[in-house]
Amino acid sequence: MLKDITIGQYFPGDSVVHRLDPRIKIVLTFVLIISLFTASNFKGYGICALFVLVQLALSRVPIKYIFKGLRPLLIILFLTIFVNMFMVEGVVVYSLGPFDVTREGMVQAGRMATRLVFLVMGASLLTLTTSPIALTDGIEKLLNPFRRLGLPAHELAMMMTIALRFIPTLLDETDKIMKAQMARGADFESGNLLRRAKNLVPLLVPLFISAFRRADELALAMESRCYRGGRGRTRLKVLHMVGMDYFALALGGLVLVTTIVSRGW
Amino acid sequence: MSIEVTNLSYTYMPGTPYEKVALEGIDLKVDEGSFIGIIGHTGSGKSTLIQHFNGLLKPQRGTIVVDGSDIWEKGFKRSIVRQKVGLVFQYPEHQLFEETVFKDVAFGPRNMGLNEKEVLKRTRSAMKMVGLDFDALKDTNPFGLSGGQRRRIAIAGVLAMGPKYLILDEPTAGLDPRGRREILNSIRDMNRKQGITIVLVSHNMDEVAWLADSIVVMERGRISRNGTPQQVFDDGRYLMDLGLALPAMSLLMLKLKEKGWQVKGGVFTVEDARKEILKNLRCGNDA
Repeated sequence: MLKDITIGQYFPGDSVVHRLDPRIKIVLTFVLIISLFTASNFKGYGICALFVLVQLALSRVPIKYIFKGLRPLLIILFLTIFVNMFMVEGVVVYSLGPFDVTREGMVQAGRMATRLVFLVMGASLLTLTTSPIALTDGIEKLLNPFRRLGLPAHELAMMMTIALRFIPTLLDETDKIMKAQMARGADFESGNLLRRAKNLVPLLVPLFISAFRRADELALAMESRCYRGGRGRTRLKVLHMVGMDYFALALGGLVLVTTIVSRGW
Repeated sequence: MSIEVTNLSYTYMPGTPYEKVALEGIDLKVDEGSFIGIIGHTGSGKSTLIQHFNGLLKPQRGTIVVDGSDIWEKGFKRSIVRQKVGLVFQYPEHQLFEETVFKDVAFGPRNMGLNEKEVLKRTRSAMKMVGLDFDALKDTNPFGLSGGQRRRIAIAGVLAMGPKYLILDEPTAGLDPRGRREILNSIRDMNRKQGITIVLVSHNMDEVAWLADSIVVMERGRISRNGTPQQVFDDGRYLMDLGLALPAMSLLMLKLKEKGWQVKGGVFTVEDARKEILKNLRCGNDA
């Protein structure tokens, strides 16, 4: 049951997109976000869409994974379209009781929907093609320049890495404890809210105890291997930019510039 | 009466890159009153199999019939199965959560909706079955007790529900020899004296050989051997190749056999081993 949840939703693969430097992928995701919000007409959105779709095709991630990521968005998407269609003032195209659908409203709705869909698609592509560890590595490297301003980049990245690393472990543990208590007749599925919250006690107490125990053991293990934060720490896998990365970066720059220029078309 | 597993298959996360076949076409019958040992390499599907016995996992293919009724038939109350088939997970002491031993052991019977008198009776007898002193321990905090004691409290928590079948996943893992012996003795008594059917999953071959009437060997989601301990340990080479261990005496017999001695493999008590060796020496087959 709980095992079916994929966290970080990484889809292992060996495509061009998978092999890109995580820093580049993070930067490209930001490029996409900025482009989507600067684009003002459908030509601009077309460029962004093309950018996402090319990435998607190159990544060889099955399309159904992308749709899975879009599913939670459906309600927000629906609401956005609905609100925009009815609330924006302009030329009335169709009347539904007291509500008027305007042409401007429909355009605005289409614009917002496109933005949202491609935004989520681009962000899911990042997490689908980058393993959580590579992602935190990339974040640490990108945050490095801000260290001089007092930002604990390494510590933040380490915390993220540990948190991500222990999500599956804790999920496994939750699954196990849940099953063990269910074997003793515990019921996690029925009853009202209060009853259900109370029924969670036999799950939460052991889970917290084990999380604290694990944290303790991990801290000891790290200290006994002389971990003392980021200072002077070298890495086994050093991130290297190769030709493909520069190419992708240039492509991202091109997308950004074209969308900005496209505002005037 | 029995637990009957027919053509059971189970796959974790089907349709994803993380797909893993855990069970494939398992047929197994656990007769009432028997003592079955399940052995197999880590990841061979033992834990997945036992979670089907009390309906914690739903079979993707195949059926589980407990005492004549299919537990996944529409309208069947699975809470009844959970009472009938007690399941003790690995490191069960990690699931304790109450402030007193009594409350924790009473969790199961209270969930069954029994009255307090019955709960008290069951808790007392369950603690006795695992060799714990009810009066001395009932009001203590379980988290202050030793690992072996905590484990016995957890086992008592399952026993207090009054199961006919008790399934234990490596109940002795991580205990010292004394804790091991005490738990195994209690388990043996539950089977011999109370008539509780036992399914014991273990990596310790001496334990399984000593206690079980029959042994099931699992390999990559299938049952590859099923027989009496004598039959299963007779082919020691096979188990060794699977990466499993052998009872000490079976290992000795295997080594002798491979040196050309005419000895049986399915021997695991020192006494039987002595007889086998003497028989060989008398026959003049000394190598």
